Amino acid sequence: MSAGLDGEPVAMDDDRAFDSFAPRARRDVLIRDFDDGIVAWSPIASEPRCLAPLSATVLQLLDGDVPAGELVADLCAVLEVPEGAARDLLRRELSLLDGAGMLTTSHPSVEPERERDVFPAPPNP
Amino acid sequence: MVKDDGSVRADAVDLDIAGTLVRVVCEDPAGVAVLRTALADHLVDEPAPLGFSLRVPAGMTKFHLLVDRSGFILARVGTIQEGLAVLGSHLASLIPPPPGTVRIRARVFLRDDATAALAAFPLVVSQPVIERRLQHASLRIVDRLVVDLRLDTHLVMSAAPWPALRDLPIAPGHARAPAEPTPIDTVLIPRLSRDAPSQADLVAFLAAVTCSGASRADRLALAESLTATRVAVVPVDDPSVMYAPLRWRPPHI
Repeated sequence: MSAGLDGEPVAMDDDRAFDSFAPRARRDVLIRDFDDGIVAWSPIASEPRCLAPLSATVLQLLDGDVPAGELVADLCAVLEVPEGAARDLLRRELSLLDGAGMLTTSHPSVEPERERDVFPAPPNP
Repeated sequence: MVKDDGSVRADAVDLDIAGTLVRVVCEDPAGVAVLRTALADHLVDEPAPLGFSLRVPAGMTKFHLLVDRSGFILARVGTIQEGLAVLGSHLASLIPPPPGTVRIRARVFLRDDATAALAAFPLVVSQPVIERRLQHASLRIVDRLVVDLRLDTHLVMSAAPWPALRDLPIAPGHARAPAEPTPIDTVLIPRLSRDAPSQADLVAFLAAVTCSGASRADRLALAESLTATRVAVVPVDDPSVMYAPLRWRPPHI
């Protein structure tokens, strides 16, 4: 389950609902390109993520105008995989990007920033 | 202090250092007196969360032990003065980093030629260094749980501001924060998977162990700069393999 642009939950396991959902990537994600992948850091995530090339490509396609159904068709054509496999792949990538705070619908990380605490581990009770 | 029944009495010293409350427990009465005098400006009456414990030799061991709040050993030293010196350096980690630096969770090792190697968290946490092996390798560990680096990967750290602790004798294998900017030429990264990490993996990992006081752009920039040094990926649970890459020195041109 993910949140749609209007904040309503999107049933990720319902193909029709999923295909009509138009995910949008945040525009304020800090991105560094490397030869072997990209590092992306959302302002709502406590840590950056290393994204595989496919995740990086999907991230760039998420402009909020293109519904997931069309992205599935794009993946089918580019990767030469069946529609079901492409949809599963897109679901997985969107879930990963959502978890990394890369989508406009992503929730902020609940992990605390550790600015002041110098210790490597919590107190031993 | 060892009591008549063989148990050890420990006194607590509660401190406020730059807004962080921290308790130091010390089993040596003379050590407690030194701490109370040296850190008089930071003493507080309210109980603070445990930070460090300085333990006197007990049983078969002849060493004083400095352990952190989780019980991880930070130093095994021969005298209480050496233990207090290590403790004073660790307490300085609670002071904000110098301007223009990024703080990172790592331990740093100094070589005799004024170069340094970094071991990123969680290396050297559950498996402490062995001072004797450091000495054999001509290495000294800086007694801070976090280190401050410029974006050009030079170590730039404030000295501990407590002369009564800072000027105590340094234990073998240990070091104060260096007075001059010191280049990092080697970075040890914990092995987290069977696959060799890509540069992007390394940058993401190193940026994640920086602290949030600096901008994310600077944290990423520092991480990228560190991957341009000599990087060695070592297992977390076998500290014996880290000494060789720590000893590495750049070829003289």
